[in-house]
Amino acid sequence: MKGERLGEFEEMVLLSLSWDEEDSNAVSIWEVLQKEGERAVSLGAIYAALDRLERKKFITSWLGEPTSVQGGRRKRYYELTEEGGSALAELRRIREHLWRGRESLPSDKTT
Amino acid sequence: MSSRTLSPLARLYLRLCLPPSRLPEIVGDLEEVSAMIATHCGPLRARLRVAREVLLAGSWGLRRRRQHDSPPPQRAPREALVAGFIQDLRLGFRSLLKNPGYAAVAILTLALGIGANTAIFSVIHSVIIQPLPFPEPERLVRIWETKLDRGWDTISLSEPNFWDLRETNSTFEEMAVLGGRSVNLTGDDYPQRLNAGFVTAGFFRVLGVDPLDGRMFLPGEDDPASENRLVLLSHDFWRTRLGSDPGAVGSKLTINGEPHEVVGIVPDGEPFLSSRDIFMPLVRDSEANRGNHILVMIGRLEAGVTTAAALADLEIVSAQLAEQYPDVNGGMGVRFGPSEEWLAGESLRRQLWILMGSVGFLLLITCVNLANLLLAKATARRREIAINAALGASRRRIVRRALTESALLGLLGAAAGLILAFWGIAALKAFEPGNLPRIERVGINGWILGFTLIISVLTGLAAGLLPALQTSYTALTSALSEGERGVAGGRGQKRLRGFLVTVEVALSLVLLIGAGLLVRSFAELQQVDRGFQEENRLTYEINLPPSYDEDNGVWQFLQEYLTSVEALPQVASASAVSMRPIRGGTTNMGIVTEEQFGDEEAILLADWREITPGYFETMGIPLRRGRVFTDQDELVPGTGVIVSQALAERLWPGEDPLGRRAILWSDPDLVGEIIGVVGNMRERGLENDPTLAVYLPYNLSTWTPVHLVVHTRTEPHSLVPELRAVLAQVDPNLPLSRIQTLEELITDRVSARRFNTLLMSVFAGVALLLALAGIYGVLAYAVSRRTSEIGIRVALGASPERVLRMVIAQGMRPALAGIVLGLLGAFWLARFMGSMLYGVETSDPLTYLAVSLLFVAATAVSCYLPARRALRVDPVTALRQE
Repeated sequence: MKGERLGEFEEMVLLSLSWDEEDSNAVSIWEVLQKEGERAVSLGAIYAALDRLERKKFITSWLGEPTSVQGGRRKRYYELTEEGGSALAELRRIREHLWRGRESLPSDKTT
Repeated sequence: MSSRTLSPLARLYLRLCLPPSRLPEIVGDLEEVSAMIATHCGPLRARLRVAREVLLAGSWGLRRRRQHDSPPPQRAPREALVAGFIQDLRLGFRSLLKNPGYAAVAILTLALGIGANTAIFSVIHSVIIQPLPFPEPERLVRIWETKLDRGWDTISLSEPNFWDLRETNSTFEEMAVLGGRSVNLTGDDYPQRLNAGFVTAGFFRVLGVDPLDGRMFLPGEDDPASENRLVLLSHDFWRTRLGSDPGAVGSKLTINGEPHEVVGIVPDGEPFLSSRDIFMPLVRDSEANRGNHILVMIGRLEAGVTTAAALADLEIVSAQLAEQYPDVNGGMGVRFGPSEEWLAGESLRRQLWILMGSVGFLLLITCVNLANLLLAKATARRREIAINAALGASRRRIVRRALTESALLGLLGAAAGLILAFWGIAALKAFEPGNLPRIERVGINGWILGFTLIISVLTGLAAGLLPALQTSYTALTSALSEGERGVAGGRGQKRLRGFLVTVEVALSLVLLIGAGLLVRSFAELQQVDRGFQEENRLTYEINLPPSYDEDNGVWQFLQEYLTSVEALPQVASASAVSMRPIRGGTTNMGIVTEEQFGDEEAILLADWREITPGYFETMGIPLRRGRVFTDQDELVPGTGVIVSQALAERLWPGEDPLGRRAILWSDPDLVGEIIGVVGNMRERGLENDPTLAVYLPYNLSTWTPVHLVVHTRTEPHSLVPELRAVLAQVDPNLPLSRIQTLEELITDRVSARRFNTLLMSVFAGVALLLALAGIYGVLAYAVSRRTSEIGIRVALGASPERVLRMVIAQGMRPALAGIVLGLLGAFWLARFMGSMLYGVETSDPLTYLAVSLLFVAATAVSCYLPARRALRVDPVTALRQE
């Protein structure tokens, strides 16, 4: 983990993995980010992020078996690695620590 | 089940951008996402979003390939080769996308050359290469009679000679003849003239053609003893005049006043089958003139018999006939014309191959232009090439990549060229003069596509080879350290460019000289003295049925009709002649003076015409000596005849021909006395020598159809309704046909020549533009690369004018070498065009000089303009460009 940081989008992609407990692929990540992340993203951006995460060894990928449901084509699936899990947890810890130091936001001052 | 929601264009784009190993999965993902988008958005918004997804995915794919392109795992050599080739194609395509301007210029240049070649090849394929529509065409021959001591080797057959050859030969399965005559079809609203082919019963059996409906003529139906009032319809006649009537076979047509039964319908095809409206039996005539050679004879050899054996057999028969009938058959032999020449004779073939050669030259010029473009592009990329070489790319790999890119350009040029060819073929069909057989079948078919593919790939490879070899030599250090010093890419490239300029100039010069010779020839032909007046002269034909043969019916008709026509206020004069002026073809008559009768060598071959008294006045042919015919002159032995000046000078050189007597048709019983001499007329065509002509009176002749010539006081065609009305008053069953003015006849006569000249000029013009663009590009580029050198020279004190002269002189050296080569090439090749020229030699100095000067001027300007621009640049600025 030394020297490997997570960018904001990478964090969101990692969090989208296994959102609904099934194996994730680029399309399911796209769906989750659109719906749950309220963010319009492109598959191209997701592929780029998945490439970086795989290089950082935060995820692994494999090609699934062809099935008739998928029109006979094989899909690539992704899974969080231990290092990826640790990086996510570390990032969360740092955020929460930084948030604790702040009582309110300028946008909270409504009166 | 995933549905294919991505367009073919999107798929192609992804195929080019994505790493091959990820292509299926990512395309699948995009399809899935596209389907989801479509359910949540309107159609337009969905399309935009999907397009964005595709573009961004492709963009990712390109970045990933750049980052992760690593040497492929060890593969079998063939697999590696194929993979490398596909990669080269992808890179080539990407390179073209990145340089759209260069790609557009290259593709357009190629399209011009390939398109022109495709169009002309499609004509050649239809006319020359495609086999005839008859089974076993190699067994078919056309049979000619010859008289080689007079230099005649394409004499048609006379009917008695045909029957003798047919009945005594032993090497032909069947022989037949075809004659042509006009007939009148009546029974409809108005009479129609039909173009009828008279054939012996075995004609279609020789060709091996089956009818579309009904039957062909049966053996014996050309015998006078059997029923001969039969007719076969051509497919076109049946379709256009009878509306494809299914009940046509068995019906009756009234032809020349007699009912004829329709027995069958002949299919379309050339030659012969589509050349006539109807076919009728040529009934054997025991009284036929053995000296009247008017029939086309064809034969089908027995299986296994060679043409040499068949020819030897017929020559024996011919020799026997010569012995039996020495007056008419003396000295005559036979010759065969193979079926490959039936559609296009030697003259037409030669013209077509010359056209093909011209567009071949055009293609070579586009090849050179493309080579120049590739060389310039390679020069601009020499650093990239050098880095590739340093990173391990072998020379072979670099060359292969360059050749793949140029072959790809060739294919793209072919696609654009096919579009140009399509339009070109449509234009050819619209404007062709009517002498190209099977023109309606010219089009783009599998053969033409194959031809286009081959020449496009070869052109791309040929254009790319030298630049690829040349630039692959570029070493890393010399390329990287060269900077901007103006040596225009190295000495090797400079030599190559010079060589390309030389080749381009030479090729264009040859093409331009060829076109120039044709243009001059055509201009000469237009100036030739025709021997008659063509303004306000109308010609047309009236076909008189056999009933007019009796009681001098033809003459009576002409008297009555011409008198009525001349009574029209718009008519200055009217007359009749037995053959259509200018285009009537030859009607040979052997003529010799009475004193020289018996001397074979003294016999001249002249054209003969029967005319009414007013003919020379109507045609505007001057009377040189003696008198013209009157109504009292009759076609009888001892008749007065009129001859052309050329014939009079040949028969009685230096003497007065009036009152002299000549033997006509080599028959001592047919003597004519010269009563007049008229000016020469080019009956056989404008490019032929003035005709040796004999004019005979129409009175007592039964020759038909009659051809009328009317000198009008108004626009000739406006008179046609009145001429028809006058004819209807004389005989309502007679049709008036083949109406043309003399000007139109002349235009038609030269139309083939004009067409060839126009085509060659178009090709030469395109070649000139391409060549000048190419030359300017190369020379301007070379001069601009010497900007710093020019700046240095001026800074060191050289006068600008001197520098300018030096640059122009050096730049023009390769062009001048090209001019010399081109002149030599043109001189050698032009002799093949000799038969296409009139009044101009193949080595015409004026044409050669004019074209050479044009190129000298053009190349001088190509060097001058950029040199002058370079001189204007401040020397310090020029040096700073280093």
